[in-house]
Amino acid sequence: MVFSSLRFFLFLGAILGITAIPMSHTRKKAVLCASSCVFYAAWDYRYLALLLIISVIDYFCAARITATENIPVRKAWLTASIVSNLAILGFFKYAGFFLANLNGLLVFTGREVPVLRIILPAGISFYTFKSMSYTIDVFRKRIAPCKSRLDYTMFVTFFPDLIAGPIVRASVFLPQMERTIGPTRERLLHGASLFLVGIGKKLLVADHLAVVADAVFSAPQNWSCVTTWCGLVAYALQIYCDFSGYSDMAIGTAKMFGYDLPENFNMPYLAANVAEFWHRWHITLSEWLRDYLYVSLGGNRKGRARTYVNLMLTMLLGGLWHGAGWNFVLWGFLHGFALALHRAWREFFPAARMPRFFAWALTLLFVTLCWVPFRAPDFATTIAMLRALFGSGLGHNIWWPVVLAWSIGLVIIGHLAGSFLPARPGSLRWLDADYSSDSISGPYLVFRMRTIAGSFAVAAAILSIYFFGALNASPFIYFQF
Amino acid sequence: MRILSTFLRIAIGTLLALLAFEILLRHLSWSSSISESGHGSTEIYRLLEGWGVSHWDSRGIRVTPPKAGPVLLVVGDSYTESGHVDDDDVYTSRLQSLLGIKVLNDGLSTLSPADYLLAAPEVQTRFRPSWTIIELNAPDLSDDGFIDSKAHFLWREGKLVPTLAPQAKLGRISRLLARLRRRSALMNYGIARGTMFRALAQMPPLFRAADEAAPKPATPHPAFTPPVENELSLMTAAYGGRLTFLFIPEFNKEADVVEKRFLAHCAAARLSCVDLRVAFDDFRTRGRAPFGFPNSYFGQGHMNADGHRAAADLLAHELSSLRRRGLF
Repeated sequence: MVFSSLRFFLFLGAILGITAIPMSHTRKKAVLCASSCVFYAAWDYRYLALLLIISVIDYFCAARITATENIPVRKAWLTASIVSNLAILGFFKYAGFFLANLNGLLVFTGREVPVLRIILPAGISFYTFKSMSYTIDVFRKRIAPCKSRLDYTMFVTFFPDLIAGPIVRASVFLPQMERTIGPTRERLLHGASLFLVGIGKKLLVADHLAVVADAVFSAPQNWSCVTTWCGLVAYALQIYCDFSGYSDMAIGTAKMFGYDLPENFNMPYLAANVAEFWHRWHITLSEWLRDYLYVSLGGNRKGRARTYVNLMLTMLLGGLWHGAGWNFVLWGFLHGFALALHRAWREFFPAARMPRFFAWALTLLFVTLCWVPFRAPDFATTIAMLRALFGSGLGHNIWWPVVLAWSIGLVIIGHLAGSFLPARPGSLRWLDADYSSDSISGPYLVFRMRTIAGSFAVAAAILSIYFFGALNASPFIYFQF
Repeated sequence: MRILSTFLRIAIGTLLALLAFEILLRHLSWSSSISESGHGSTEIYRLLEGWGVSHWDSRGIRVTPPKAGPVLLVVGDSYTESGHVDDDDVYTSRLQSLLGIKVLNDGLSTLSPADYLLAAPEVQTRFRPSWTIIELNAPDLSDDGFIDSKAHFLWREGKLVPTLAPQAKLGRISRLLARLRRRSALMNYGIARGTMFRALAQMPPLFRAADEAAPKPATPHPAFTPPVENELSLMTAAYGGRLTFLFIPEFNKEADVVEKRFLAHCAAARLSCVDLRVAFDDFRTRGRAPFGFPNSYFGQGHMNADGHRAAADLLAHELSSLRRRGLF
């Protein structure tokens, strides 16, 4: 069920209505849990079992970990949890990729392994990581084990973040379990404001840009250098507005019920180095990779050389998390290499600092170029794109997509507002809007609609999305991961 | 009291936003799917797929500076109507400048050969053209002329007959909506957008999306053989043989069987025909496309100003030769 569909709005309205009815807290949690299962089953009911099996396995393993102080036994249960999750993820996401590559290696022997055609369950990369974080945190004694099976199932299945994140950790979500569930005026205002901004990013920017990016990436050999750059920049903005828009909608939806989900994006294209970029881009994934993979590999505790290797490994696996393809591995490798290089620079030349503007421009150029292997379907397209970008391509078709100009304009306005307004409370009082902030979700804009100007702004925003939103209905990019 | 005052403020703010959009939308026609180009209005702005400003007279003729002498009538669909480009950029205006005679642009979105046939007696009486240009694009001569929701062809006793679309019987709500659509741009575009969203909302079936992802065997499509030659002969007869066909093929496709049959019939019947494909090589050499705009797709959709220029040049060449032969 896509957030920008009528089906979802009807579903959301119904669940908000039901949770507004006075009933016991446990019953409301059961309602939310059941609705989340319906939400997931609406995609395909046969995969709901997978989601529930993962939640049962991790709940059980965490309980066994807590039941003993014997380190080898605790480690054994943790291993059981991680292996179960990775086995499920590996089978559904990577089996086809592995077998296809195996066939590539076996080509000289004349043998062939039959390739499995497996449908990737929606959101599997997100909910396995989410659930794994729980058993690891319980093992590390960072959080107390969840006492209620219902609470844990609700944490794993919670529909706003189920399909494409943010990857919510148990340590963030479980402490909110005792909050009253259901819509209040304040919750609806906060949630709907975030949702409106998110759907605006998706329909007014990302989906319009998809046309440009798709055209260029589908046949890079046809385009002139300038148009290929336009296509690449369009994709860089598309993926940002698509995914951050989705995250805004997810966080907004959760807020309507009274839950705070963590911030996932913080103006990443303003980063002045790659490390900063990963503190701003898909924050919940980069923090997950840092805390559960990089730290588990030894982090920076095992010497300089090992630190670089750990960085590279973390990013390679981070790339592979996005999709079963060598292009994603290349993307992860490039980011890992850049992170290692940045770290080495800081260690060997601590006093040498590049002016912030140049550092920002260089980072932006690097990150944008890295989207080429990420978006291209194969290496041949990646090479064709790079050749076109650097002027040695074959094509010369010239197209100046105007949608790119106004998308860049909208993103700049959004970034300027996001950079300056949160520090100036009351600056949007004339619109009856202000930046709200909580410790989990970060700053976000809240429209209160108590004045004529405020109501006008919200109504105009809704009408703009309705009349000028793209109608090509591109699926959310991160759904495929 | 406080609730009432808040409610009033919300209502006023929302009404003001609706009013602002009503004013804005009255001037815009941003999608070919919203085909109400408003010929009753004099000035139309397009927002998407080009950004032309066009002017129209009360007869639905695109306004061009007055000229004396013979009249050249152009009938066609949205490729001729061309709200996507400014008045001076449309091929009809360019043709008027190149030939120095009056060219009347009677193009209207969604029309097809059956309409040109049905309208032939009326437009000839009304405009008394010395010569007529009929613009045809690729689908016009194939399945577009056989869609029964608009004017279309029927086979009757072995003859091809143009027929009007059956008039739909409107219910009370549909009549009310139609009236509202005529009076309010907001309602008109709002309903049109709603229809588009509804079409898009055809999502995978609930609970079984994985089945959709599995490859399905292609269902064979029954072959349709369009009566290209019959359609062209009927139009030639209806306009007294005093016409030129302008054929607008697709840019990124090779000539298909319909286009080949069109050209073969033109040659066999010694008709005056112009095929825009002749100019395609020049576009490819320059890395340009005759179709598409910076705010739509490259090489797809309607003709841009470059495409119109090429069409006008080709037509001017053909029509000058006809004039030299004293045909009009």
